[in-house]
Amino acid sequence: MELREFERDNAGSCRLGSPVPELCRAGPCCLGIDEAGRGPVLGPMVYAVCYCPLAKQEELGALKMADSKTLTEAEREQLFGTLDRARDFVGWALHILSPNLISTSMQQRAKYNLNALSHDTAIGLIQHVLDAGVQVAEVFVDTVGPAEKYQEKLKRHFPELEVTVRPKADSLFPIVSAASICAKVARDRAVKNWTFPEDLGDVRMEYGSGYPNDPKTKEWLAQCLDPVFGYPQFVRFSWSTAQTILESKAVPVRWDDSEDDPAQKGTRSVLSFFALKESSKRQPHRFFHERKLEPVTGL
Amino acid sequence: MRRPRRAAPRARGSRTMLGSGRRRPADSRPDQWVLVAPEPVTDLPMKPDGGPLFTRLRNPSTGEAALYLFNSSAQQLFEVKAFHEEYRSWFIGQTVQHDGRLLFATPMDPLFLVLFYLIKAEKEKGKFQPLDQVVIDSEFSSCTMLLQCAGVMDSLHHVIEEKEIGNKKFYKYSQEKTLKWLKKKVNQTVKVLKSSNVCVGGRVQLATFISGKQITDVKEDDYIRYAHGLISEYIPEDLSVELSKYLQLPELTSPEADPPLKKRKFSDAPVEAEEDYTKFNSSDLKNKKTTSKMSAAQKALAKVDKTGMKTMSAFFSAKPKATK
Amino acid sequence: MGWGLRKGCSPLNQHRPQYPCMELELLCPFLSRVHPLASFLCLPSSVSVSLPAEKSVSFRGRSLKGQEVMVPQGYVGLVLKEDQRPCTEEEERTLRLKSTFGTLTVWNLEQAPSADDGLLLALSWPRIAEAIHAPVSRKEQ
Repeated sequence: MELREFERDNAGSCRLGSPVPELCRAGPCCLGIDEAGRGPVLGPMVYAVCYCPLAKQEELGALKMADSKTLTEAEREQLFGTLDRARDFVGWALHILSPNLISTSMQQRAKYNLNALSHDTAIGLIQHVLDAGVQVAEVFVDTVGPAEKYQEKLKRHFPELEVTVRPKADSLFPIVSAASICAKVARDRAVKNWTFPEDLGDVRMEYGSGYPNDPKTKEWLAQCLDPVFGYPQFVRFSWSTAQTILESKAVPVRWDDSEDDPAQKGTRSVLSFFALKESSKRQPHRFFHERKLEPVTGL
Repeated sequence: MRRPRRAAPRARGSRTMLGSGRRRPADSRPDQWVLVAPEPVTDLPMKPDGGPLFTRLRNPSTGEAALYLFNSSAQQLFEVKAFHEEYRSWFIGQTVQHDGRLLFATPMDPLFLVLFYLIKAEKEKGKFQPLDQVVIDSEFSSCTMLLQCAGVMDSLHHVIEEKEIGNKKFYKYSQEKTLKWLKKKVNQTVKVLKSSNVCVGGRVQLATFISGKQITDVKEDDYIRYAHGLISEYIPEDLSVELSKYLQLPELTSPEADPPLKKRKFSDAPVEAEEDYTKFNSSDLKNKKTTSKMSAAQKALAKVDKTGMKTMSAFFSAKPKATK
Repeated sequence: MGWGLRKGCSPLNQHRPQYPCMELELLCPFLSRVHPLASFLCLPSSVSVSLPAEKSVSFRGRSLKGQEVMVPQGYVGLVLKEDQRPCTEEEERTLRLKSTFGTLTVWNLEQAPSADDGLLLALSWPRIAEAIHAPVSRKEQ
């Protein structure tokens, strides 16, 4: 698994995958989808698809794929090795979403929530595999959200495919287990090899599991906080854990789209302020108002 | 100036803003400024201890303190204005500057500032006086530098009557000449307003270099009125009223004279910015209405009250707002 | 009552040639120190009307779009610094010319500033000011 393309710009997103096995272009295939790193406040989220011919499902079963969550990192690496050796009939593809992309998407003016982002990423991956010539017939998807709506959405996009969205699909269908291993291995590697473009000085890199409830993660977040810029881009700013620390420890930032305008609060409205000024002083010409140019009285 | 900056924890920054918070004491004064100035301002001075000089002088329109800049040779005067959008900061190299203003130093005709003193002297004494007795101000001692500015002595004739007794010259403010001079100022301003595509109509449109089309219902009067408004930033209010009459600007009759202002921002621009804008405009409208409707009363006020006020302010030297 | 840049070493002038043109960012995320995303390229300055392409960075997990603008022709950008403010109001103050710049970048949330927006609009002021304050010629009627 070569993540160099992602590492080159770990602020964006990147799609990569194995070569497509010829067998997958020749006959109907099943395809499994799973994700890794949805919950953590740190690092990228990885979507993976794994596919193999329906005719090769027994061989896939023999590879003894299992839900990645039940495995140790070493076991996952080992199983990924197994998948890699089965490259004549098993293929995979990944979409890595950087924490920066997640942050900026979720905090967009026109909100783009994580579910929608996930769904669109999955749809993109299926299309990507179809475009590569894989004869996808059946799709199995693991989900954390409501399965039915997700299933409908996928069916609308791919009416010709048989779609099964199921919670815990990663432990029920070997092809989803295989996808979960690809996703998790990629996420682990991306986190492990994360190159911080930021100069964090002497902050220690002990950030724990990256899950918000991990005390080590919390401590690290507090430690690497820059009063102006906040966190490095390794952190998902959109997570409430990160937000809470920012709000209490960093300088406040007022965004263009924030709803509370401090000047509008309190007893005096902007209009009353104008009225007040009118009586005492000449108003600058609107040329200056429109250009936000003010007189200066001193340095 | 629109909002009491001092009261709020000093936080500028913006649209995307950077505020500063508790780390910074509320009264911390800026020690760094970002300024855009004409290139010659930074020219080497003739004398080793020379150099550009920031100084406070009386704003000729309000009589209050304002910041000005003299170039190294003290021959040229510049007015200082600040582009100030709330909630903005500068990132300069590796540093963050809390104060996100961009100061502009632009050429200033020193005659406007001299004129202020000439008018004041006319109101107080009403006789011919030597210039050094007129352009003098205990509160703004730098005002004497104005007379050393290039071209000031040569342009004085635009605004005064002159008498020479013995070897000494005496001067007296002439409103008649001044209005003529101001009209020329208005004309040259109209010219640049047209060539710069400044939206002078009541309607605010997108800058024309985007749309490429000038709005058709903008009349010559609109330009003159607009230019008059700009020139009025540099002259006392009663003179501004006189100038308006001199220019034969028709009075704005109804509020409809200024059509409702169009949104300037794009549709997905933040709601609050638009609100601010509308509020400002409505106040602007209101302001104009009052000016036009009350002009008669204002004239009376100007005749009666103004003189007293000026003298008083000179006497009690209304302390200019403390700088931050 | 004046305070100036003129006392002592007159820093504004003497140091001028030593300062390379630097770039200013009106509200941009960190430069190389923290955010590599901000790659600040100097764009060719031959055309003054057409604006260079917008730039993109993220700040505090939100996307910023920037527009690089040039200071008006004939003008120069200066960063002035007061190293020490005198104890009394009467003393003349000295500012140091820290750097100069010819372009700056304005950053807005998710949408780059347009030509009728904020600072870009304000940049038309010098030209208008020059006309208002140009001396009136004797002949012109």
